[in-house]
Amino acid sequence: MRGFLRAFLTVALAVCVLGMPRLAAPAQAAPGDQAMIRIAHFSPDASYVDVYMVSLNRKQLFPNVFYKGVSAYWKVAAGPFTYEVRPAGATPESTPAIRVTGKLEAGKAYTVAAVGRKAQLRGVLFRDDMSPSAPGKAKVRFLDAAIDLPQVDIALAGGRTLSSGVSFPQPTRYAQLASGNYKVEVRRTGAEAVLVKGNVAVRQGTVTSVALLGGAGKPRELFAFGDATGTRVAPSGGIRTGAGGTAPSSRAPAAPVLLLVLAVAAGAGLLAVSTRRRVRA
Amino acid sequence: MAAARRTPAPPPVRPGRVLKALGALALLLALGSCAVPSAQPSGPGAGAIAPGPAPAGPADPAGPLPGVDVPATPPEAPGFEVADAPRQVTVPGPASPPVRLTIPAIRVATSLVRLGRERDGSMQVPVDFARAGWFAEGPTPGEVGPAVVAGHVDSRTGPAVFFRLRELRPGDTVQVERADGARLRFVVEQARSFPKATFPTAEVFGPAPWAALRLVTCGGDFDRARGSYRDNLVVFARLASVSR
Repeated sequence: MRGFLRAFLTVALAVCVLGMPRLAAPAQAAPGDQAMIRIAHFSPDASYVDVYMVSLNRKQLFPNVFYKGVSAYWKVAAGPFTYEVRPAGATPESTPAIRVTGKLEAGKAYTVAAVGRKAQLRGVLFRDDMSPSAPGKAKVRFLDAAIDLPQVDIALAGGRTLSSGVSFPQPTRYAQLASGNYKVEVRRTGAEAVLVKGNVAVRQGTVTSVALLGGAGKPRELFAFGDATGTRVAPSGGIRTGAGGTAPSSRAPAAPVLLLVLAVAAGAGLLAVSTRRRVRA
Repeated sequence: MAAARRTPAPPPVRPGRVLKALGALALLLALGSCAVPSAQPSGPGAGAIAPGPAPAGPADPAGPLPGVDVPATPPEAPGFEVADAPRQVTVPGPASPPVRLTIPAIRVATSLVRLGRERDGSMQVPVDFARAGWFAEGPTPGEVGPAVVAGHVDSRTGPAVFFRLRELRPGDTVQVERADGARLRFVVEQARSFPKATFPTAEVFGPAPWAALRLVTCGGDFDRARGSYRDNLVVFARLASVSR
């Protein structure tokens, strides 16, 4: 009986101690150890016929991935990761068509893309920049995933060059643009002839990626997909959402906490008294 | 209780036993009061991706983020753990302002006012302590991006609309009704406190890759000299499903 009570006392106090932080600081600790990752399929001739199964750290993510498919972001533990692609139906033990290993930094976002011809499939991992754009601007970057293009320059039609000397399978830096619809032209570096052109529409606060795709029978094109959307113009500083009417001042601590303390004290006291009596007897 | 079962015969009542029983009872009460704040249903762990059990809103086919074609029940391959495939839930069609916010777990039900920025660039807050407001210069709930809703924790005299926001846990549901009648179910991913002096504007208002909702109120110590709380509490939630 005494053993049971002592055990109960220990458990009760342990639960209280564990429970207290929830009373005192209920805000969850930041899960600062997570990264975001998504997958993209940009291999022009590995489509429809070959449907892929993609896994990340031995978790199957997608049983079917088609050409020009871009997934939503997935939250994963930061740290080392492995990405594998296998033909659909292949056993998990079989040698993957692609294996990419890397390290994901906490709080960062990544895209892992399958690029190249089916016979020379490769996986590339690149970082997606989710930091806010300049006020009133949008961010755009390009990824050269077209398999048979020379080194290219990417420019706004009749205007500014956004990136020069871009080659497969590299992403460019993000450029800041005002909201609008842009005609984008892709030229061989240093040449005049336009190899690929397309329209890219952006709104302020958004982050957009544009893949340069094609080859192996697929048309050359610019394929835009969103990374994220932010606030057009964010407010500054903290937010004044309290007037202090419930802030603890010189007043007594809140009733539940007081009761709790009293109950624990009383319980422990009574037990101590009863134990002492037993010893005397 | 287990103790009664272990005792072979009812022994004579002794004062010590009565005291012990009283002590145990007091502890039981203490235990009970400890457990109350934790009694909220909590869902998946902090930050866990929270696709609803039955996502009603399919990924917007015309949306800016083309989704990978994911069957409802992926075939299970031997040797693989099938993960929750990331799913982009958005509200199809044009954006529409939010009009109502309901958080069953903490008994919040409020209409939403529109908020902008003050002259000093800071975010406006609702004049009415009993109502929350949506930052109308950001995305609407249901669009990709961070929709921000702010509400007071207290007035000068007592609790205000977001007094119990601190009790929200990952997995809790937050409902938003929009002017177009769409009902959005968000799931809490995490709650964090930040000193106002170093408020992480980029994290709260910056680009988000999915339809996000951020609920903001005050927390921490109250600075009587400034008449302001030192911290902001931010609850991060993600759209899980949409119904009409």
